Amino acid sequence: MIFGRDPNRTATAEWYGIHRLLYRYIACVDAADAAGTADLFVPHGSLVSHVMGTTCFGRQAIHDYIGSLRNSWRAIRIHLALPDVSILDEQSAVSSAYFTVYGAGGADHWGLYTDRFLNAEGGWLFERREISLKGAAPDSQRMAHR
Amino acid sequence: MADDQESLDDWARICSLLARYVTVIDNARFDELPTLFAPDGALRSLITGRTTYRGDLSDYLRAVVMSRTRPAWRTVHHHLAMPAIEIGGDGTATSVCYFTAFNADAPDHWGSYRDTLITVGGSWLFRERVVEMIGSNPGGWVGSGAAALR
Repeated sequence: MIFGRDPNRTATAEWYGIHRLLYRYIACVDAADAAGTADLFVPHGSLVSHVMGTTCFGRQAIHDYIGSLRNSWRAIRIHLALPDVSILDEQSAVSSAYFTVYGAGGADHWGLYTDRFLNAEGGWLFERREISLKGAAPDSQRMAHR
Repeated sequence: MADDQESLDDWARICSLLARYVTVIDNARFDELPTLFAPDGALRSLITGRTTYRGDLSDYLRAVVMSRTRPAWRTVHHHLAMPAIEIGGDGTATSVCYFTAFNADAPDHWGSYRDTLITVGGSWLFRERVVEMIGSNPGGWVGSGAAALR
């Protein structure tokens, strides 16, 4: 089924809520907002980056990771492609979305966000975000800041 | 004309259909591809001038995937831009959406999807998807002529 298990109006509101979360993550990371990024996860949420070889459990670890990353790597911008969201029920959803990281020299690397969401604390939050690398330019800067 | 809430519902569901198409083709889910099209639906390629109807779409996708003969081409991923959707009040809609297909080394090719959509049994489906290529990497999967985009 294209639109989760219950294609009704309520699902549409949830769909928009998840899209807002996805775009909010990009805005926070590109703005080097570590605290804002961490708050997009549930308290026990996890961020697994196969791009940088890092796994973070919990908001504090995510805060520290994003802070350290962005302090050394500010000149990039993440472009998010149209995500494929499935609302599973009122409390849970999953999504996959491609991204491209652009630097001054153009497309640096690209990959896939695979996400699991929970409807908690009054809105949708990441329970788990997994970042997979799908390709990179020959002169990619991503490995310079591991 | 549909009311505002119905338009929002339709817009979200059409976006979901567009995104699901990409998930299906990029993950070689051969048997799922026809389910995204109306019974008389078709995929028309302006690259080759050929039209593939719903019943032949699984085989079409198999041929496309089999033509990814180099390791760097096995991971072709279609990144979709935000679509321009026009919803009619008669269970039909149109959409235009740019895409960029990346392989493991570089952007491989890029173009647009121009869609005519229809509701069947409460679900939005492609009646016609027209694929147009704007450009390609000369050494890439499509640019080298290796892609089986029949």
